[in-house]
Amino acid sequence: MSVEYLLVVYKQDRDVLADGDRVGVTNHTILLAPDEYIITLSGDGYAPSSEDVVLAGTSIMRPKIIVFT
Amino acid sequence: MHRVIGLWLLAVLALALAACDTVPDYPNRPLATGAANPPPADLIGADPGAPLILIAFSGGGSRAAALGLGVLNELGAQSYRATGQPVALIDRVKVVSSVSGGSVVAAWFGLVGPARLDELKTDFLERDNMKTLEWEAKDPLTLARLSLSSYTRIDALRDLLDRELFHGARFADLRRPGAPLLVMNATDMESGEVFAFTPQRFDDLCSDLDQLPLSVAVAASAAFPVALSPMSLRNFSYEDCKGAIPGGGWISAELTLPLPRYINLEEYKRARYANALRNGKDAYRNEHYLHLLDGGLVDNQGVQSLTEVLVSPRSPARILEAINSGRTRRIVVIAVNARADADNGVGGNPAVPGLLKVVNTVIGAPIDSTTARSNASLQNLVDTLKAAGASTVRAPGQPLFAGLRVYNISVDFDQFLPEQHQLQIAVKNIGTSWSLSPTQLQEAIEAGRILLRQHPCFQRLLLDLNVQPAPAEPAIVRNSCPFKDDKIS
Repeated sequence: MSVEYLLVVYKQDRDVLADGDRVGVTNHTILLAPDEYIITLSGDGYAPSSEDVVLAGTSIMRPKIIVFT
Repeated sequence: MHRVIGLWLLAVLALALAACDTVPDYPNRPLATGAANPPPADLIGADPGAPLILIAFSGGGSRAAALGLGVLNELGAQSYRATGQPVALIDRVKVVSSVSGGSVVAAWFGLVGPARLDELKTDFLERDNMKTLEWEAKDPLTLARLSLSSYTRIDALRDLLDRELFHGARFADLRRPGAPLLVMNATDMESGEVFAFTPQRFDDLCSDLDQLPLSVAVAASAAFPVALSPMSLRNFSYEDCKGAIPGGGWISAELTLPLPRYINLEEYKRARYANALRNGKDAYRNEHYLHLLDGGLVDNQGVQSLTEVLVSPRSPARILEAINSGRTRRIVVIAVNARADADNGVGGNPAVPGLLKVVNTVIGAPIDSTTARSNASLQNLVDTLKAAGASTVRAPGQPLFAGLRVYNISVDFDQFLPEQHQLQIAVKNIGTSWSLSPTQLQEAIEAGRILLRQHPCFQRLLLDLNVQPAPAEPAIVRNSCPFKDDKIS
């Protein structure tokens, strides 16, 4: 099994949730198994309310980056 | 002569009974109204540098249990210092995944911890359990129970384990301070999937894991087909479930999003299976009753469950989250394989092998093959995690897993050194049964200790933890189990 890399950018430190499970924190690259995930943050006040993310073909130097505002 | 005829009659009767369908007394109970199975206590701890040890114990009857005991004994013999206090490595074992014979030592360790570990020898491994089982099988009372009641052949093994070792202990009794997460694995006959005895899986069944006797899970994990009947459970999700079942988000995402089945088919299948267990929308199978066989049929080392524990976002061990948030930087994965691999005499015999040898191969070869594949997959994952931890100096997003070290340690009878050939031959020739001679028991335990102790990555762990006495040649140890961030010497 391989792993993929995801960077979730947000102005505050928040927990990052993949399909509802806590997997890491914002603004730091995280490891996840290859898959398609619904990414959300803990708390509220961010937009969009969720991101559908396909994690495949990333690398540590080129993570998938998504931005919440 | 009369005795021979009698034995034949008994055998014919046993086979006839074996062919019958029996409705068993299901050993599991439903969740109470509004309840769910509690997750394990925090396994990670406060010190990111403390080793987090995960072990997989393979099947192999009492040989596997004794080998596992040897590995745990070695972990108990090695200590490092943290904040001035000695910490035995065995106290850092946080996850144990197991199959069949490995489940005996895993469940015992989970139940009693390091202090009473060696009682496994006196209470189980030193006893002639096969003789007990055979005696019971011939007992007319047993035959009467088999034919007239819901008693099945797996119940004999369950009763033996309970009587000799577990004494009525239930999963709730595993909740002692410092206890590891125990993941015993069986095979679901309906789906061919790994069935792990975990709080999450029992949520899927709307069933109370805490109330389940440990002996049921160990026996299910060791229910070798044909010789033993399956262990059956009732799925209360197909009845009037009163529990409050959490955590279905991943199932919904896997089954409704368009790409999971293409990107990660195995995970998609696991979600589909969980949905069927939950009696969810468009369930692809009827899983009202679970009939469980030996976990070795699909993964004889329990490494699939160990892999899930390592990298699944939904694992109750929360290790992936701990890696990503920098809460753990030292993970030790120990995969213990008790595969015997004795010479079966086929290659040296010009005659066409008989039916028994063919059946042995038909059962044994696929098990060894799938075990090897699972091991390769785990090896690949561990190597990837090692690389991730070591290559983050200039990575974007300042990963908090920078500096993660993963020690990949396999324990296998093929790893003996040339001068240990005699012990190697001895342990490889221990048959798979529930009885060991005193010599075999001693040899299997010693094999576990030696094979772990001399593994280069275990030596590297001892070096990195500054365990005393230090290895004589640190440079050789570093070269034998290198990390990318090692300084070139």
